[in-house]
Amino acid sequence: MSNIQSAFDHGKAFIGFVTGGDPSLEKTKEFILAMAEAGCDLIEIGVPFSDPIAEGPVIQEANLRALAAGTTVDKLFGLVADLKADAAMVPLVFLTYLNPVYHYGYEAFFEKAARAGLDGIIIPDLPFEEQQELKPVARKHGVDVISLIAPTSEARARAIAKDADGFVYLVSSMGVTGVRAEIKTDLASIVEQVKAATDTPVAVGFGIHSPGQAKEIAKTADGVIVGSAIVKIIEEHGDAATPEVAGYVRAMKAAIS
Amino acid sequence: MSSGRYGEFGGQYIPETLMNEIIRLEAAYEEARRDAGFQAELERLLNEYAGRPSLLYFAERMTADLGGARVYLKREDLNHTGSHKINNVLGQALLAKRMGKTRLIAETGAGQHGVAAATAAALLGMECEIFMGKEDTERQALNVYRMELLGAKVNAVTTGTMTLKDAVNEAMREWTTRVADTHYLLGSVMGPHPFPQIVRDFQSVISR
Repeated sequence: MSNIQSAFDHGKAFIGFVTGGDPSLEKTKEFILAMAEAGCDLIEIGVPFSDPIAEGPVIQEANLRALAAGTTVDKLFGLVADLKADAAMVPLVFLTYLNPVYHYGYEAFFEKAARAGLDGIIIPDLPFEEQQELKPVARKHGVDVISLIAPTSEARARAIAKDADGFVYLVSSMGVTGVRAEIKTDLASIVEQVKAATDTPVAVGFGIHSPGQAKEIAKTADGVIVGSAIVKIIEEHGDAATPEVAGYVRAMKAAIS
Repeated sequence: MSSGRYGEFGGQYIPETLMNEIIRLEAAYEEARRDAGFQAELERLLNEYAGRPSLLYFAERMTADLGGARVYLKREDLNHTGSHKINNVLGQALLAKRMGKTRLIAETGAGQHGVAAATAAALLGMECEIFMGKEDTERQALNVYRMELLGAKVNAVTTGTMTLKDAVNEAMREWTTRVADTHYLLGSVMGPHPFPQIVRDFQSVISR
């Protein structure tokens, strides 16, 4: 069993996201330590990219800030290795578009990822049908490729779920990442469909920001993923965001506990 | 691995939200391609509306000046809307209509594809939204005016470099919010399969 599944061992999991290198690598490290301390069960580190087609404006802007700060894939591997030197660190995954991974070379990328201690990878523009070019390499190095299921996946959801590693990332609604006032998708029925096909935990992301939403979703799902709401706090408070981020994570974790 | 490979290129690298739509598009295109009725309707529009076939002109003075090959110009600029873009646009708009779509979205750089898409939408009674980098909307303000005259909504894209690639990203993002009634009318040989094949096939009319 992968290390990622341990994130789901203590009740409903709270999964937080930060863009690596926004506003600086040092601050990203500080945010991650504070988030883990405040109750994040798993943390996604966004690899900044020029064309993030699944992201809304908040994370797009964070990508540009991180790229302007000189963030690279190698620097993020260094950050992961640094954080993972502490054996008690929660599981860490990258959220990246395929381009930086392809450019790096699959073998070299996953070899380095494994050595740094990265537990998994989420690639929003690598659908199930294209995963085979990379999944065997990732599996060989013990890095989970996390699959996404969308409200539009229909019958394909079952096939995706059956082959899922780590956890299933269920996209809450149509569109890109970013805060939504309400989520109208019938998530309970999709979660049920996924759970019938796999024992792998299911976490829901896209649009979630309030404790109330998180609580509602955690009734059926195994975990809740929050990205834009955290990145927005970082955008507003910059270098001074650490206590704000920690306070937010604590409130969200409490809501689903 | 998916179909639609060209050596190491091609494939379908898009968000999961769009995958079923892309699979449906692939099937609908295959069916339309073999349907004589669809092909006849497209040919009628290309000939009677777009003004095809385009003329082949022997450029005598350019040939003499260059002193080598005989140079011919295929006058795609004489098509309706002023470029080759109409060839692909009419094909995809007909296909979208056949799939039950009521709305077209498209990216555009200088504006030729946007003008062609807005024209086809007006012709077929469809809603149309164009995504164009803010830089480009300023450089090509006249084309923005033409698109708006044709009833399209033009969105100035302010993300990234504010040019064509960002317009493509933004159109793709828009498509993930609304796939049920919307077709993304891609204008170039790019994007996920089957778009490269569709654009290639519809543009092959140039040499026929």
